[in-house]
Amino acid sequence: MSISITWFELLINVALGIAVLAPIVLITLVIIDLKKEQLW
Amino acid sequence: MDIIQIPSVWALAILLVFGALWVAFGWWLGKKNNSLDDFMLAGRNVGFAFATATAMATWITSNTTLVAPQLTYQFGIWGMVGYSMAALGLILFAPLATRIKSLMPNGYTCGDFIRQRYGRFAWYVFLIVSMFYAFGWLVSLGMAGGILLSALSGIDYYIGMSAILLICVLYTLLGGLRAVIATDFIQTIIILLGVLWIAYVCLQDVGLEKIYSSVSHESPELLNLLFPAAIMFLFNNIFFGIGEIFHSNVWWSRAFAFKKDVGKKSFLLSGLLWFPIPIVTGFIALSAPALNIYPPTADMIGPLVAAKLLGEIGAIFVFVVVFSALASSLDSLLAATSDLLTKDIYKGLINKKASKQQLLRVSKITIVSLGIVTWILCLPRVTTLGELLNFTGAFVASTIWPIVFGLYQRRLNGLYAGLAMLIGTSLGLVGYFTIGFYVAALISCLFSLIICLIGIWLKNANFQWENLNESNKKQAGEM
Repeated sequence: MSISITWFELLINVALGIAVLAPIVLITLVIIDLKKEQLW
Repeated sequence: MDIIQIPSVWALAILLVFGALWVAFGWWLGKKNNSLDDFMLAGRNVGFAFATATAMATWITSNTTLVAPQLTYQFGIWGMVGYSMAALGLILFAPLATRIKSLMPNGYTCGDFIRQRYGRFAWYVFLIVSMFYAFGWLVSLGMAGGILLSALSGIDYYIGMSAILLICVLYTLLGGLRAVIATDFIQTIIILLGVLWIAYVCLQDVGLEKIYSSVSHESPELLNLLFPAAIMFLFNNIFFGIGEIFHSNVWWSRAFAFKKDVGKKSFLLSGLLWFPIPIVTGFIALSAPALNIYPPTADMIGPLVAAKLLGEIGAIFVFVVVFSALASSLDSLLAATSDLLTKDIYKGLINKKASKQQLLRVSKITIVSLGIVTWILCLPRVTTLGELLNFTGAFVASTIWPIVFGLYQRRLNGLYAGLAMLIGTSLGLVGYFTIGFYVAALISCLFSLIICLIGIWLKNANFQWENLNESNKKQAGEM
């Protein structure tokens, strides 16, 4: 039983979507912590 | 097809520039370190952003960027999804991190916990398992540094291996865990941007439909959801990943270093953000048939595809990403292993009355010594990264249940916890040699669980959690 093209595309697109979010989330969190002086 | 290599001069220039940057950054951050807690645990005050980034960066190793594509190329869909399951280790460690911080707010290492919770027998077994894994990982990262940097740029194996070790030792020595965490943040961003760029070009130039059709035409088994070896690999990787994180001082030192209430959410978020990375690096490998790439060895599939898609610029990018991935794990491992050797071996066995100043000095000497020992062990270039790490699966998976029951169950005593690790590891190794690498962690974890359950059923240690904090307070006061 093989994965269908639809599920294959869904898997890759969801993974890519979260991966794109990752650096944005991390940089945003650092800016917030920096402003609140809570980095360390 | 040969891999596109960047000129050696460029590679050396990149190593020099990044090395100088990390070392200067480490030195600058180290100026804020005034105590042992500052050096070993970044003042026990790491905020949410850095906590999340360091957990994520440490878990993105050269394996994630290079072995995930290799496994996808060998095991297909389950290869990349199976590798992603290692994120479960981070996610499941989230509640444990909170529990660790609340039980031992003054703790330093995972060895501290095992010794106080289970006594000497289990502690000795745990230290052997932990040290074996730590050195296995250190040596595999050192060797990977030499092999990969040499494959990507043509610089000599010994120069690449020595350079990455020297750079990581220097900035860890100068800045302690603070430098490790801060550089981890920058390295994570570099890795993510690099991987995303390659994935974007892959989508634009090849496209998912073409990737799917070429794989289903040339290697249909890679899209098969009932590929037996791949399914075994998936489950084995879950327990291997959980064992790696649950037992290792790399993660325990972070649980101690993060601010109160930060551990749980940062490990959870880092796990969720880490989850797609092996799928992204993996799907790039699936585009190989569409690009007419047939690598001589599966482990170079990632760089080959990147180089084909992006040319020389791509090779430079891969070089920087691989270097960052290696450094982000190597520095964490150096710091955490040094803590374990300093606190558990030196303070626990050699000089029980050592002061905090003495421990700080010993910790720094240990980082340098670890670097030298790793360098010596990397000289012969005896095995491959994958082989060495898979071998440690039998060891680390045996610690999962003793750690979990140790944190949440009063009944399990030291004898059974020690036996669970000892017998679990032994039988895991039997599985490794008689069946294959993809069952070692599974077998080890299963038998360790059985022995823990027998221990809980037969004996009641009735451990008092307060003892952990009391004992730590006493130690903190003594030092």
